[in-house]
Amino acid sequence: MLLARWSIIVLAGVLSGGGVAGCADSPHTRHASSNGDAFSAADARPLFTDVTAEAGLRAFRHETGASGQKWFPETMGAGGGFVDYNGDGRPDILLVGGGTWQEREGKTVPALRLYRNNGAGIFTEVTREAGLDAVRAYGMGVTVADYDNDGDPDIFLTTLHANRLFRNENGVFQDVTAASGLGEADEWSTAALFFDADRDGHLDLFVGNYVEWSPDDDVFCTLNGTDKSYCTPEVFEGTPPRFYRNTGDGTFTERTEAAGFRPAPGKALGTALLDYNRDGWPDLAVANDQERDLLYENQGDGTFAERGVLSGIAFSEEGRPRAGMGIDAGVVDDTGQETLFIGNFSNEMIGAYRHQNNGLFVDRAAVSRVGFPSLLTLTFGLFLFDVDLDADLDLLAANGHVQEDIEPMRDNIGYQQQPQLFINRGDGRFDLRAPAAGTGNPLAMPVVARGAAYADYDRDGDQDVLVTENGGRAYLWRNNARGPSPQERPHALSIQLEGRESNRDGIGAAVVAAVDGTRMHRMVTTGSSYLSHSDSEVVLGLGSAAQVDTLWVHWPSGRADRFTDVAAGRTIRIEEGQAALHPLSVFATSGSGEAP
Amino acid sequence: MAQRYTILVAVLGAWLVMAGCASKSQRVDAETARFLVGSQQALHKGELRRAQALADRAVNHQPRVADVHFQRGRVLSVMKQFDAAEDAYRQAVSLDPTYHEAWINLGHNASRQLKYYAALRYYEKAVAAEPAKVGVSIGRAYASLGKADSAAVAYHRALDADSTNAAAHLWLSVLYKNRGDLSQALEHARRALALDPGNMDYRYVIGGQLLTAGDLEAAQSHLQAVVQRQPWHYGAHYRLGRVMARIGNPDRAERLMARADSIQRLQGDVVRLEEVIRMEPEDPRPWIRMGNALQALGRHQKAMQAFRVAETLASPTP
Repeated sequence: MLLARWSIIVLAGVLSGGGVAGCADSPHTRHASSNGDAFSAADARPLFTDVTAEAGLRAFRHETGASGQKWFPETMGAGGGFVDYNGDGRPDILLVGGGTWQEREGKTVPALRLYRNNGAGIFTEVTREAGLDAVRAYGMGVTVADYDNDGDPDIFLTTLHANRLFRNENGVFQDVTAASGLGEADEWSTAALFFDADRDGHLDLFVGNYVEWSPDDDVFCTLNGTDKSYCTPEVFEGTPPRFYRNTGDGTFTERTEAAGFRPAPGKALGTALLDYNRDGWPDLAVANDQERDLLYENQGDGTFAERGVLSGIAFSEEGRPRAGMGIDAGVVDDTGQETLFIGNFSNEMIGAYRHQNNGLFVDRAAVSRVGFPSLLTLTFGLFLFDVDLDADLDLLAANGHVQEDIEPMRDNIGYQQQPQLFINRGDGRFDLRAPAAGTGNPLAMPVVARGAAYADYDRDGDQDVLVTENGGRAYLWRNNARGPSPQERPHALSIQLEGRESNRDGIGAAVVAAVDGTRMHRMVTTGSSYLSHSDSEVVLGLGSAAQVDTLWVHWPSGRADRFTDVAAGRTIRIEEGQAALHPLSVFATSGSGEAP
Repeated sequence: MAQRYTILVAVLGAWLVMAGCASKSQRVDAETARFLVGSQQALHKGELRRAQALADRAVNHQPRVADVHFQRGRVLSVMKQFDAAEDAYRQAVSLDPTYHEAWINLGHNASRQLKYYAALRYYEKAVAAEPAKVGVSIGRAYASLGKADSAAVAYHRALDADSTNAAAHLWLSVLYKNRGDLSQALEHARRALALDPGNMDYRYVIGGQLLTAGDLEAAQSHLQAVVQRQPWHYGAHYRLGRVMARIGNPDRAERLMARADSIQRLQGDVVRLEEVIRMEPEDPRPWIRMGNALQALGRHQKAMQAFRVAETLASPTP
């Protein structure tokens, strides 16, 4: 009996770096993210209010085209973001509509939907007026920048096939894909970003690609041995990225290999701009799905060397590639070093790689207290922003699973998952903001999130959030940080840049602010998160400080501008090389929905 | 030969004696005992088909004996037929509700299927009988559910029952590390290793924690030991590579991380084959491929086990 009654305990799972993974799968909760016990702090006053319905966005539905075939792209969702397309100072909303598989039968959906911000907290669809209603594609992501330096934002759309570039002409978009030279590749593109790789004043374009897939090449995948389920990327070949150099005359020239972006494994879902070695040349990080993540170090001439593995950002702590999706970088502590955050699959922590020195990063996911709570979630959208305006960057993770039928198969995983807001203690350690139950707090609402972006749509000085759902709605959450009580209202300063010698948007510029003896570092970027575009305006949370003591702008051209005693409570514009600041507006009273 | 016979008789005798005091279920007769011992031996050799056949004979011969269902459950678990294994263990506990090993294996079976709440219910049935061992399993289930505080309580209870429980110290260490408390993590990992100094898993955990803590010299020592003893351990190769990168030896770092990458790919084959085997447990071909993959990793003993399983699956049912 004793011989028979031994039990089968094996140390597997996290110990089995050298063995086959055992039964120790990691955690998830159904319909909810883990509160991680001691990791959370109560959400006494909800930071967000869901204003989707009153903003006029309730009717939007992302279309996956799903009709039972379980085709891979149907799980990936799409992004969205903010773009002030008409230059009125109020961020408008751009959503990717998704796609269908019945184009030949005439059943299509608009690839893009544009909603104008009316300034009273209400958005009106202007897709047709803006010339975007005829765009048909299986859309994935958007990135926005003034690529032609004419003073208005243009749109780049990634799709399952050829990508599209739309030039803004006084609020109406012209499809200039063919003329620009960007439409030749027919491949599944995902995350893209504009940046000035060679600092010549013209924005270049990096396009992350995913996998080789078409309905004809589809693969049968199954979870139960019988029924088809959605595949994971391991069964498909990755498609490497492309890089296009902006020639300055409205066209782009592909320079992928010459610039050092190939060979690469492909399967990209996120890309972020950073300058981790502080040499003034923009670097790129790429989150890949089940392939090593990449770190492209700018060689100082617009070409890049890939250093992901040696730098330490390519893998998990155990050396495993993870399902990288949303990504962002920023300085979250007083070291002045950038930390790269990468959202991953369920059973995989969000990565939090802080640059140490000499190009080496250390994964601080557990130490930062982001790791354990994110073990339970599948994170797509992810970005850093100062949600509570207390002068440090916080982290938002938009979560949702890819398998609709996951719940009967996993005790601890939900298809819909709560978003997670990690509040920075100021030292790079975070507390998960636990939403109070039953309050209507968006953070308590499980969704199948994909894209996520931020902008101060109501111009009250704090940044609001847009989240897109796969096969579902888009949600707009108003930030209540600058609440109704003037006494409790933290100070903030919003900064818009206008490059002259540098690119017009100032993308790649570093903004450094000294406030009461501490320094804040921000970078003007595109990209980041998942397939989405956040406003490139820099919002500095100042807490109780009513001014920035010293403000530096380090432009991509190499020029630096410096200002002192910059008063908070307003939006300013800084033009490259000009001695004066240009006040644009003072902040609106929070909740009024009125922009000045 | 004589020695083997002696052992077999001793086992048989033990089985007969123990079965008599086990429960309300019937006593194991001599023939059933022979079936059970034969099944055990076949299982040990990786002869799954034979192990299953003998367990089935035992079940047919004495269906009112809990042990026969328990043994059948064990065989089915190894064959990754988890639903059938659960049925067998349930039969065992229905005949003998005090059969805590069956409750424990029900818990493990549920955990393997990621049914952690069910696992916890099963473990609770056995924790009073074996608080140290089962406490660790309860802690792991809670940790897998993201309930860190509950997991910590379970591990501490296991240590209250037996302060020399190395596994409890180790898993508590892993929990503390995941929660970002490196000093507590290291303390418990060191205790675990002190209790079981030859355990390479423990050494790997400590090495990783020391790397995170920035104690590179100490990390190198532990990880180097794991790499030497377990050359298939990709995690140890990778982490040792990270140590080398941080102490300024990029060439060695690159070599170690490249080796980790190639091990990783071979491990990926093993994981995929495990999934195929789970889907088609009676097919010998994936077992052969598994053997080949393990061979390529340098895990010769495990490879031989896989080949033996393939052999028995390919042969006619005894």
